[in-house]
Amino acid sequence: MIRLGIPSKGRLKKQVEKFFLEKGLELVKVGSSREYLAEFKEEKKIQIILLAASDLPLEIKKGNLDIGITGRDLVFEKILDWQKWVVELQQLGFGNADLVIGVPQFWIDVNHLDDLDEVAYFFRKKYSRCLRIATKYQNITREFLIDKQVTNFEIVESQGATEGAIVNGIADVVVDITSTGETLKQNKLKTIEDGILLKSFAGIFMNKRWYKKNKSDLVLKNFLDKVF
Amino acid sequence: MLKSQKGIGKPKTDSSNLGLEINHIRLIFEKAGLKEISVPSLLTASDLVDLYGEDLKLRAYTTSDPVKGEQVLRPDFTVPILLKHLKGKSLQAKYFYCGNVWRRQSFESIIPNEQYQMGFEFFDNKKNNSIALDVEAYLLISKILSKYKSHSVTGDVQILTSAINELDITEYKKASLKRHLWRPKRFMRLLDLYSRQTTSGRNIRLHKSTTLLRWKEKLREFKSFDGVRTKTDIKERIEILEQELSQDLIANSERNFLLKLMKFQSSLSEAPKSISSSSMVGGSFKKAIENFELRVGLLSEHVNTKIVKFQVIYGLTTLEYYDGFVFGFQFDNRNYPPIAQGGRYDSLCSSLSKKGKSISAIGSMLRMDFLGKTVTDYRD
Repeated sequence: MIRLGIPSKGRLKKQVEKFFLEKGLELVKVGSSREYLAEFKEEKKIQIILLAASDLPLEIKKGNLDIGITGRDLVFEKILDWQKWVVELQQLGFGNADLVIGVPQFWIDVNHLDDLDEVAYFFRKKYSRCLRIATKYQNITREFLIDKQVTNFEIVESQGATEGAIVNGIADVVVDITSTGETLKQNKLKTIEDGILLKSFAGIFMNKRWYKKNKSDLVLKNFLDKVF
Repeated sequence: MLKSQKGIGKPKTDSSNLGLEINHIRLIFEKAGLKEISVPSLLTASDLVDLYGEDLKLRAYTTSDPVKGEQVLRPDFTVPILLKHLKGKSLQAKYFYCGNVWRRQSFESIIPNEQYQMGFEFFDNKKNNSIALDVEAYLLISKILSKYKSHSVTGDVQILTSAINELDITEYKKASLKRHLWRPKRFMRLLDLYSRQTTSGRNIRLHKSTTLLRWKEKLREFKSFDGVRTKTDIKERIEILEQELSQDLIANSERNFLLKLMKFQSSLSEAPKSISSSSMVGGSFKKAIENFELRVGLLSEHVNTKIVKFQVIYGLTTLEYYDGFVFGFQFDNRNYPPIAQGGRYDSLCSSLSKKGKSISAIGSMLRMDFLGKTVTDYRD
């Protein structure tokens, strides 16, 4: 039995269902009351587990799931050195979004990471504190900014409605996922030139150890043949 | 060290002489007049993040605590000891410490995540001559390591910072360069930017006066200004950038001189002569070289400076917050990380101490796991 995890709600779930249907795999619920288990009408040897998209990466890493479909952003954020633990098999044609730095539009002088670094320093000198960056993606943000050698910033955790963090006085800058940039605009934010942290999309991820062992498993082969 | 119990002969960890080594070093410290100081293992994260920035969270272990807020397992002794010392009344002190520090390590690293460190911190009035303490610190470590086959490398960031001070550019440019001395990528970007070197292919941001003018006009169109950064802050920055446009750039000869300094290495005995023969003149650079010469002179009374290496920017990227004389000791035959490292951190002192207190400091740590042979080198 292969354990396949998919997102349990939202747009991503619908897109996954549609994707499978196009590949000739119809998702059906198992039983009547158990909403978080499913199977394919055409392939009973794959057990489908519905989980929050953000919980999927760690379950794949731990091996509780053999395969999972989720966003790249979440895999990168949740698993340190993700390539050591999971294999990315295929990017699907949906869930495309960028993880970007958003600064207030009236920060007319900030258009580049160099500017952000300098502003953070001025900010520190004037207000005796770091520039606060609100984000759900703490790990990716920290690694990115440290790699770019931006200094004097502090990450503030924000689990949702991140775009509002500046108006709410929680942060000065945000790092958030956006597909069209519309939400940023509505909140009077703009992106900066080299401020894309990650290009994200939905993908098929597998537990690396499990995959090595089961590469030639017939059910897996059949499944991959269908979806590729 | 644990006493062995009855019926058990030798301690079980017979491959380790860590306990013996600790006692030995403790004796040396006490004989040298150092007092033991202890600091908590659990520190408040926000205090440290303020100092180290977010880098801290990549290296230190953080814990969550709904009552006290985020706590960090002590990533080094220097900062907590400095903070403790600053609370006291005295300016001068000589402390030694021993205990664990915890740091995340990469997969390949042989440094244990929980390392046992011993070391010392010397604090002094800034007005006193610090060279004697520099030498004392270096000699103390070399005494401890005298029974091992080891060699040392020294550096002096002061030479580089004073050279930057003497450049014929604005204070704004100098401050930006000095601020990023520890971050080579950004430092090189700035150096290129301030000397208009566009050949390197680095994507360099150049503000034109027309752009700045347009920014000012556009800024007037905004009505709401959310967040802490104000319209005035932005105006002020644009004005600084405008002023900078008409200011001098770093001359090519000066740029090359800086780059040469950054690459400079020789034996410690040769270094003062080679560096002072350079073209750079100017008060603070001259002073830094004089100090350097004095220090080397004093050191050569005790050690053979011909076999001590010197590199102007030694430890620049790994020894955070050090800004003057620095040193590191390495085993001759083993490919270990430095077994001892230390240096001067005067600017950290002045950024943390209250006004009116002017403290300077030098310290060093020893990686006891490598001295006590408790480390297995997987790379052997």
